[in-house]
Formats: sequence, C-alpha cells, structure tokens
Amino acid sequence: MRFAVAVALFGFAQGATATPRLALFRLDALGLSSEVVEQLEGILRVELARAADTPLVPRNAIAEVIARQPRYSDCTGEPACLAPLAQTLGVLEVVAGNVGALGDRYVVNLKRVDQRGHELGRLTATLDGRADLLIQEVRVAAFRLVAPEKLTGSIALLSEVLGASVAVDGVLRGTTPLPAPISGLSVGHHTLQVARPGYSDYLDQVEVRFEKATEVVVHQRAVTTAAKLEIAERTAPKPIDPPAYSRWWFWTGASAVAIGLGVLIGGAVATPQTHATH
Amino acid sequence: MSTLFDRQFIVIAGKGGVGRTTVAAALASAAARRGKRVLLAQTKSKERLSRLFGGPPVHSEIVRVRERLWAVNMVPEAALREYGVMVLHSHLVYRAVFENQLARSFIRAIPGIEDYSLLGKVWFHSTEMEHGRPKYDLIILDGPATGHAITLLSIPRAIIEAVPEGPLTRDARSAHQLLTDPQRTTMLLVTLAEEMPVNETIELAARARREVGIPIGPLLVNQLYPPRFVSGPSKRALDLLPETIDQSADPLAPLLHRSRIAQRRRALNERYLERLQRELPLPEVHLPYLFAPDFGAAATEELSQLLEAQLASLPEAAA
Ligand SMILES: Nc1ncnc2c1ncn2[C@@H]1O[C@H](COP(=O)(O)OP(=O)(O)OP(=O)(O)O)[C@@H](O)[C@H]1O
Ligand SMILES: [Mg+2]
Repeated sequence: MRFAVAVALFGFAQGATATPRLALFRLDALGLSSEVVEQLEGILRVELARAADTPLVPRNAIAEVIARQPRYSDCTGEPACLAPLAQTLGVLEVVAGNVGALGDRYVVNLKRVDQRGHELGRLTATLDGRADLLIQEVRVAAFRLVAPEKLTGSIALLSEVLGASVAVDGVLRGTTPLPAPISGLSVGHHTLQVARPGYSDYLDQVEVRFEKATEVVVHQRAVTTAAKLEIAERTAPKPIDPPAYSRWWFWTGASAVAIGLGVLIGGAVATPQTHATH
Repeated sequence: MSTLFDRQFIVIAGKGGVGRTTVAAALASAAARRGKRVLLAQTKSKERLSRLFGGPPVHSEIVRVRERLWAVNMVPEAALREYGVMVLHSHLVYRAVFENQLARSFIRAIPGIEDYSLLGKVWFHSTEMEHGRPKYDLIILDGPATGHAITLLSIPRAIIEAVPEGPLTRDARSAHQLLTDPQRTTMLLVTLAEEMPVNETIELAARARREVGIPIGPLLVNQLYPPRFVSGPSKRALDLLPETIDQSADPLAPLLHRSRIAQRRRALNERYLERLQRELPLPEVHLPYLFAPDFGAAATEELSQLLEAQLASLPEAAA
C-alpha cells in the first residue's frame, strides 16, 4: 500500500510541471469531524490527479479565489457556481462533493462539472472505514468519476489443457497457454469460457478488480476416450501398485526429466527426489 | 468423546464444482465404516453417486447403497408430495389438498416452497424412528452451491418469522433448532485453495453464521496439488529450463508445460492456504488432488480414508 501511495505521489509530482486541468473544489462534511474529511480529501486529491492524469489546482489557490470572491464560499456544488469557478481557476473541470457517515462507513457524493456548467458525471460511493481498504476504494471512486474507461483489471489463467480456446464475454482471446494475462477488462463480472474438444467445458463468472489480476485455475476433465488416452500417454508408464490413479510416477518421472535437462543445460547436479504417494 | 461422526446432521456447502458431492460421498462412506447408519441426501444433483460408490443409481427414492449407507437425490416435486403426506399423515388428504388444481398453483406460487420441501424432507428423515431408535444416525446433505445453500437453510427462520403459528411453524421451529444446535449439526465448507473459491468460502462462512446461525466445522480444502517442484533439486532444475520450448518440435514440451503447471498450482495453493488461515481461521482438513482418469469407487475410498484419519486427529472442540 505504501508503494501504491508512493507511485501515486510520484505520478502527481511528475505531472506538477504541467498546467492543472482539474480542480477539487472541496468536500463538505456532513456531520463528520473536519479531521477525517481532510484526510479523505487528501487521498481523493491524489487519486483524482492520478485518474485524470493531471495535477490538481493547489488548495491554497482555491482558498485565494474564495477569499477574493466570497460568493464561492456558499457554493455547495451547483453548476451555476462551479462553472465560473472553473473559469476563474483556468481549469476545464471542477469536482465537488460531500461526505457523511453511515454506521462505520463513509458515504461520498461527488460531482464533476465543466466550464460551461455541464454536469459530466456524478457518483455515490460507500467506503469501508478500514484504513487498508480506504485508499483502494477512493481510488476506484476517483477513476469511476473522471476516467471510467481506465477502470480495468485482468484475468490470469492457469490451464493444464493445451490448445484450449479462451473466450471472455463471448469474445475469443486466444488459446492456452496464453502468453500473458487477459488485460483491459472492465471492473466487474465477466464470463470466462475455456473449451477444447474432448474436454469438459469450463464456464464461470469471474470478478475483475481494479488494477488486479484475478487468478483462475481452469478445471477441465478429459471426457472422450481420445482425450483420456492423451493424458495417459503424456503421463506414460504402466500403472503399478499403488492404485493407478495416484500418478506419483508421473511426477517422479517429470522431475527426473526436468533434472536431466537441467543438468544438460549446465545447471545444478542433483538427484531425483523420491516422492511418496499422497 | 464426541466427534463429527456423532452429529445427526452435516451440511456440505461450497462453491459449485469444488467437490461437494465427492467429499460428501467420502464422508458418508467413512461414517458408515464407523458403524453409523447414514443417509446421504442430495438436492437435484447430476447422478454421480453410482459411480462414486460403484453401486446402484440414486434417484428420488431412497436406495441402499451398501451396508449402513443409503442415498437419495431429492427433487422438489417428489419431496413436496412426500412432505405433504408426512405433514397431513394421509395420502388421501394430501391428494385432496395438494393435487387440487387450484391449490397446486397456489402452493407453487409460495416463494421458497421448493426449497422448503427439500429441507423439510431432510428434517423429517432426521426424526424418523425404527425399532425404537432413529432410523439414520447421520444425515449428510450434499447441498446446493453457495448462495442457494444459504437460501435453503434460512427458510425455517423465514417461516417462523412470517407464518402464523400452526403445524408449519412447529416443524420449521424444530428444523431451525436442529440447524443451530452444535451438538447435532455441523456445516462443512468445501473449498479449493484458489482465489475464487476462497473468496466465496469466506463470504459463505460469514453469511452462514449471520443468516442461518449454523455451527461451522472444519474447513475441507480439496484438490490440493502435490508439493512437487516447489523446493529442492526438482525446483532448481525446473527453474533452469526455458519457460517454454517449441511445442511441435519437442516431445518434451507437454511434459515441461505440465511440470510448470504443477509447480504453479502448488504455489498458488500455498498462497491461498495462507489466506484462508488468516481470514477464515478454522481447523483444516487437506485433501489431495487424486489423479484418477475416472473418479470412481477406489478414489472415493482413498479420499474417505484420508478424510477420516484427519478428522479423527483434529482437536475435540474442532471436530
Ligand atoms: N480430490 C479430488 N481429486 C481429483 N478430482 C476431484 C477431487 N474432488 C473432486 N474432484 C473432481 O472434481 C469434479 C467436481 O466434483 P463434484 O461433482 O464432487 O463437485 P460439486 O461441488 O459437487 O459440483 P456441483 O457444483 O456440480 O454439484 C469432478 O469431476 C470430481 O471427480
Ligand atoms: Mg455436486
């Protein structure tokens, strides 16, 4: 998490030379201590800057404008006052909102208005009060408000069956083994389907989270005799005592081969481990 | 000493496809081996028990699968009729009431009635007596997947809260008492040590506690990959190999692929075992992935032995 904050701050600092295109007017407190709101506002500023990929107008610049034109201090997020504010600040858009408490959660309402007074978006987000989740939730809210198209994550597949077709929401994304996780998927649920003739179809709903890779182990069984034979073949020797289904010999064999190759390639000299059956 | 095998009612729950049916069969087999008379009750399942037990097919009538072990695959239609007959104590009255066209469409329209009939049937069997003692010592419910299981188990409470006092609430109260009695009932969560099943299991445990109040027993972590290539020389050797070798050119390519998959799956298993211990601190039973081309009676038996041995070695409070 500290890393994420560092990255966010770094991004912010880097963009600081550019002219701000966005301002966070303020976050009104609805019955919350100003300390808490200030903290939330701080996180929100960092995340908005990251999401919109622009530095934000510094706080003191906004305070100065309000000092010069007191009418802004009564502004509670109406387009009629946010639009001239955006013009005065020289930014394209202004974000304003409020935050209240609901049990041990925070409810944040945010609105995004452009120079001409058009509302570009609004959202209500319920945030978990716990510190470890808060930053992530504020981040998601910031992206949802100003850059929803960047709100994506990925799916990383682990599939034993080679050459199976992989589709997300009905769109073919390649065949196993995929060279990389399937990325650029919008946050939320997606249908994942993995199929290869001779094997049972895999079909599940996968939840994609922001900037995360959901790890999916694809479970497919051989259903035709041909596919079963293929498994039997690639895992070779004759079944011996103990039961045929505990294929310890495959694993012993595989590690022996791996070790053999490893030695050939010029690596470690090692003896095969003996593996007990399960 | 009271163990899991001394319960009257065990509910097997978990995400779809994690092995609930397989584990339920293994557990039923272990309990029967220990001398219990066991009824394994499934809900609208694909018929798999005949293969798992190497016995007769299991449909909506209770069949004896082997010594001390019975099974049934409950379907709402039949369960509703049976339960109706039980409640009304007469086929004739049941027909008059339930098979009347109007009454039938009315009954069908009651939300949750199908689930209730399934649960009602299970509950009824738990009260059945024969020769002066319970007909079954243990009933194992191979329940529906995650969310549906909660709905099913919440029905008694919903009835108690919503329906005026009468025969229906009397049964519901009794079923609810059974479900929440730690002496008699345990819910066993089956999971895989993988991201999505783990997420669902953590959520399921929370909902089961909150919404049903059912006691939760040891966590059954199924299909764990063997610890190959995760340490020692085999790992070092595998690490030295190229990530992939040209599929078509090299006969070793599939072997390398499988070895890597095995390594990754085990590593992944270990990460999610850790997460489970952190976020769902329950005693755990670990069941291996059995490489059975056709998962049949021999595999069920092997799993059953492993399950029994581990359950027996859990601390008493946990089991
Ligand atoms: N320990 C194991 N080793 C190998 N394969 C297993 C193991 N446990 C279950 N399986 C396999 O996983 C698949 C799913 O198992 P099962 O039908 O028991 O799951 P389920 O949770 O009852 O599924 P459903 O949600 O469809 O009812 C089956 O093909 C079964 O053979
Ligand atoms: Mg099942």
